Amino acid sequence: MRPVAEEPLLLRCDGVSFGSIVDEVTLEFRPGRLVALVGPNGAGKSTLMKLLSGYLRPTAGRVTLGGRDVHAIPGAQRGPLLGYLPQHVETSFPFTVLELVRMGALARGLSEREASREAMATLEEMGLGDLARRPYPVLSGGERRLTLAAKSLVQRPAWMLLDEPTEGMDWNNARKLIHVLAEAAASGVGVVVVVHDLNQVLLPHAWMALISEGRMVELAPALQFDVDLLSRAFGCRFHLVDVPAIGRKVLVQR
Amino acid sequence: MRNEIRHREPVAGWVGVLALAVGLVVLLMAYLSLGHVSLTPLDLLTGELDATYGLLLELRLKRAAMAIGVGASLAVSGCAFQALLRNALADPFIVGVSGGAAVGGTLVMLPLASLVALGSALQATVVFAGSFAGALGATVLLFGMSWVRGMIATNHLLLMGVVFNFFASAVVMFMKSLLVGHRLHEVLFWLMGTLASESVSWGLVLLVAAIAVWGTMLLSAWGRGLDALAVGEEFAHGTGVDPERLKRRLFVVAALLVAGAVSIAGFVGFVGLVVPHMMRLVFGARHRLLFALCALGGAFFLLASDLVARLITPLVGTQLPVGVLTSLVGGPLFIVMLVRAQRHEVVS
Repeated sequence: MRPVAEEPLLLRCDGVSFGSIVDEVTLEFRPGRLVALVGPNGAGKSTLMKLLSGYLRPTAGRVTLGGRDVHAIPGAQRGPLLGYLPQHVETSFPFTVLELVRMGALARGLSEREASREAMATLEEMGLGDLARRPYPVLSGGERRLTLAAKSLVQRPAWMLLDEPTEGMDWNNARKLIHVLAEAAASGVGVVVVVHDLNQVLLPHAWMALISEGRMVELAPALQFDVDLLSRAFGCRFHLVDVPAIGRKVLVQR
Repeated sequence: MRNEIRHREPVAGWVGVLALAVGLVVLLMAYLSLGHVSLTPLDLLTGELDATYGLLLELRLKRAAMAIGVGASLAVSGCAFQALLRNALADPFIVGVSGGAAVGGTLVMLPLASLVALGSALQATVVFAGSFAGALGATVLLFGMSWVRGMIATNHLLLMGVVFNFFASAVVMFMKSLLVGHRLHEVLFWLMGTLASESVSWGLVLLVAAIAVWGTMLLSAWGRGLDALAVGEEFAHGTGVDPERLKRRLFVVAALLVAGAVSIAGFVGFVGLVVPHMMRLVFGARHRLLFALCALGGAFFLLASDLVARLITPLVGTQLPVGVLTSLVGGPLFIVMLVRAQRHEVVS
């Protein structure tokens, strides 16, 4: 008997709407790719992320993960399949950084002891070992996002959906995080991120999906993206400039 | 050093559970021994008591069991509501379930006035049933009203609970105006929170204790999900937890705990607020052991308060409702805790 080739676990939107915020979006995400959802404020990016994660149910259309309605996947199965990081995570409960990161490890199905070990290892890898015992509510905005990024990474889901993971991070931390996500994508994980600094995702293998007024405009490799479309959506004039000193292109606006 | 960090936290929790359990047993011995008539701990252990002392002991034991069940129920439900509403300042009486209990309890007291003998076991049972039904009715109502697109809108729930409590207190005040004499006195005592009702049957006391044990075990089993929920609903969803299913279950269990406690002892304030807060401060925010710690801490707090209430009775000349005492002690204690926490936060 021939082994059946494993189907790639596709994340698909078929004519997905949510009220008037998201309007008939049809889009297919493939594993092994980093896709940045970009668009002006209020374009519907965060709502689309909530729909993709199954947190919200579309008012029309379907979101499917490997053919299954994503909204109907039970939590215990969702943990290792799909990790979602919302845009705002605020709590007044004094969970320590380590406890919060552990939650990601537990979602993967690890035992309590293994989860603690993995969480600590990930924090140390990211240079956050010193934060481990600090309560999350007293951290700075950037430190919180780093903690949440660590939680998403330790969860190691097949799909990572991160809504503004780099918000509030300094340039170096933001660059490092995007680099880690790109590496994860290269190893076969499906990564979807919302970012506002388009230059963060102008990377060789990254893709961009442009959303404007709730509609899908274009999905294309980041470095070949139509700059005119971006300019029109954001209402400003973008230029893609080659910077030989750093050996890459950057977007600037006039 | 990091190894230590990893394994110390759960150990601290277990040590806390053990310490509180031992403390509770010691306190229980004191509670049973001390009072208007003192019994020596030796009497309690050897069981050599004459009939009068035996009766006294049974009454004290029943009242102690009531304090333990009610204290545990209130602290555990307070902790659960805090996780549900993601607000460390929520208390068991905030979401309207207790308002429903008050309406139910006073409502049955009215027709009861002419039908059942005051202070009888039947009266206590009927009031319990009425208030329990009121609490469940309010739960269903609030549940329905905060249901939006297949989700419990937590902020709606909180707001409607507060509004419903105002409405309920108006109804209760109206009914109080219809009651006279001893009946009014009894309702007032119940609303203030009291464990002094000797007519409550052992059956009801054990029922409330059973709900407390059941609730604590169930909530502890959901500890991992509750941790994520306390961080945020969307966060929980992204971490392999079903927030809506958990919120529904949490609400029902917490409401049952409140219903049991209020129906038997009225509005004993601050236990459900201070105890979970204190336990979190000492043992951290994780829920796996938090409910057990709260149950023991709540039982300890209420039993200690009731012991004080009983002991100062000859001094103040009247039986002080324990709810008045817990609020008198709990209020300032809570303020001190908040101020200290705030200072700590500013410094760190």
